[in-house]
Amino acid sequence: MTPAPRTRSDGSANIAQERMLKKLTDELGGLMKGVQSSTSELVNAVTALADRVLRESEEARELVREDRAEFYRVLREENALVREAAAEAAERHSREALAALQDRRPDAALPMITSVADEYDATERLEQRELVLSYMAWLTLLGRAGVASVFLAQRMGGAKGGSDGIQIYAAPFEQMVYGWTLVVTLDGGKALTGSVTKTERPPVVVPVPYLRPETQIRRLEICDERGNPLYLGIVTAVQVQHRQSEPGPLEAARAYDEDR
Amino acid sequence: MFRTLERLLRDPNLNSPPPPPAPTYNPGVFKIHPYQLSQWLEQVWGFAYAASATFAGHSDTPFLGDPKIVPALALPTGPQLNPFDAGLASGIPQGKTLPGVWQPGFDEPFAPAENPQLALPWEHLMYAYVLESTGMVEIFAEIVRRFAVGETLETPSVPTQTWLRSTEELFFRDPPLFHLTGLTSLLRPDAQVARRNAYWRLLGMDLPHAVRARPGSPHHTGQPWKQDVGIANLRFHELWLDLLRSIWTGYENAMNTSGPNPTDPGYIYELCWYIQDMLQMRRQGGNLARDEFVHISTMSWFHLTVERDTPIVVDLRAMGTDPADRLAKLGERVGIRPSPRARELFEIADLVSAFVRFLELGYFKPANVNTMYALNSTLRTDVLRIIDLWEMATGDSIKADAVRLSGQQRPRDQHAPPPRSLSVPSGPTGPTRAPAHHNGSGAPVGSGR
Repeated sequence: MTPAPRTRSDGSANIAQERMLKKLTDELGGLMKGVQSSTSELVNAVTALADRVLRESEEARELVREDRAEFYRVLREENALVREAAAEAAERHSREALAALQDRRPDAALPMITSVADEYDATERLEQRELVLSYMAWLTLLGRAGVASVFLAQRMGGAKGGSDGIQIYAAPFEQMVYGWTLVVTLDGGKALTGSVTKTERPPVVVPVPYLRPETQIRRLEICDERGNPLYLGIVTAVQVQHRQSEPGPLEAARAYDEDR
Repeated sequence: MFRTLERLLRDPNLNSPPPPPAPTYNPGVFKIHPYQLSQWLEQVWGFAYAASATFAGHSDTPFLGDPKIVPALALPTGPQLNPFDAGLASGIPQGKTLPGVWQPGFDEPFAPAENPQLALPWEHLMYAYVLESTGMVEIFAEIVRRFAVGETLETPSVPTQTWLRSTEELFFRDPPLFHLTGLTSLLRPDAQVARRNAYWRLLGMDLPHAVRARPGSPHHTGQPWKQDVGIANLRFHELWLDLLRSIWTGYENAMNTSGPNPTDPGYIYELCWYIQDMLQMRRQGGNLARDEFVHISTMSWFHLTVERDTPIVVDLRAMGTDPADRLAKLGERVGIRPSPRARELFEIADLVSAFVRFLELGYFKPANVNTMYALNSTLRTDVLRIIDLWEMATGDSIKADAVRLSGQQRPRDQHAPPPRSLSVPSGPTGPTRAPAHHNGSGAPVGSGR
């Protein structure tokens, strides 16, 4: 506070001082009121600004949150699409690989015979393939590794009066392919076929219609749907074995006199 | 046969699909008692009818000349007091895939490939001829002798001891009486002469090296394996070379789409037919069937011995990368040098065996002779490799002679007899006067001196 000025006469000086003091007090009060008003405005402004900032920040956060959520949603959708595409591609590739593997299996057993155009007909071409198949099977039985195109099989007796079947053992098949046929060539050259309808891994028993117990088998093959021989059956299937194991009454010995 | 047995120990059905199993071997085959090995040979022989009669649709074609020869010579099965009599069982455990797991013993019941689930055909005599041309029998005979009489070689390990015992028992002594492998007798005491006799009769060819005198074996003068032979297939070599040349011509021109094609399938079939007839004639009545079986068994034992780093190879520090390499090192240890073409001979043995067998069995028909040169198949691959290796091993010119201008005369084999005029009688011919083959070695055939 500013000190009151000194005057020449005390009475008039006091009055002047009081008057000055009152004036100053009024001015100070007005000033204080102005200051209070400005401060309050400032506070209000700051508060308003802070409110605005806060409000706008929340909006920004909300916007960011929404943007981020949108981004994540799009990303998830894209990821889902990519995953689906990848899954489809993987499944397609696996199907193609499996199909290729299945297509290649016969060729792995017996290489395709290809040549330039020639005059050989289907019968002669079959004979050529059978030669190669026999040759590879021969090498297999001689112990040469890696050329196996043979399968083991056994002749099975059918129902009484019915036809025989061929039991195909497991090796070397992973599974039987739908469309393969079992071709049974009899001693006289007649060929019988049995459908290999099962696609699971052998052993399977393939019924062969019209394969009578008394007939002898000369050759046993598994052919693809085009009739190309893929595998050659060996050993036990070609023998009439079940007749010897069928239970039945013992044959009576011939009378000694009959020999005379 | 013993190589097949080794495979059976790992793969009892012999039909493991491609890719082939790892190129390992089961050393168990050398641990098997020689009696069991001998019995296994009896067993394979006894069930050969299944291989010949039911295999690949040639039931009427003799695999051994006459299917009746098998039961005629097979050991009969008696009352089953002795386990070896139980269906000619050898009792060899089969199908143990892990070499470390395999143990010798007598296995009952029968293994899958035994009695007679899997009838086993065997190699052609050509296999034995080609392999013996390497000189490996002479080398192994000397190795066994050295081990038997002294200690000039390394001290043998126990596995080598079993190998030595089996080798000497099976191939360098008289076999047990009444057994199939007993080819030698007072009338034909020397096995190596018996083998040369079979080669000469069926293939019309001699081995490229002389008979090696062994202690205790008779001293041979001349070529006793040609005495009293009667008819031998002296034309085989000529026809064989002509066939290979014709096949090569076909292969060279297989892709021709225009212009002349000198391939003559009819001529190729004619050659196949001649060779088939020639070979089957020598097998009539089962002739040479037993000889072939015994000789190829002998060779397969020694082939298996050098095919891998087996105990005897390791003990003599003869490890190598291929059979010829090992054989050369083994020969060096005992002062015998094998054929310089041993590598090719080892490579060709399996291939030529199967091919000649198919020729002999008459598999080639006019409709399928092109599988040998024009069609992409295992058979063509093998035949072309035979051509390559035969030319390398013997020096017989095949590919160069196959290329000729039309109108030129067909090249003749250097070993073929000169053309004769029917009006001019030639001098007497007979086995004892037959010219000796060189067979590519450059050295004349040994006269046994």
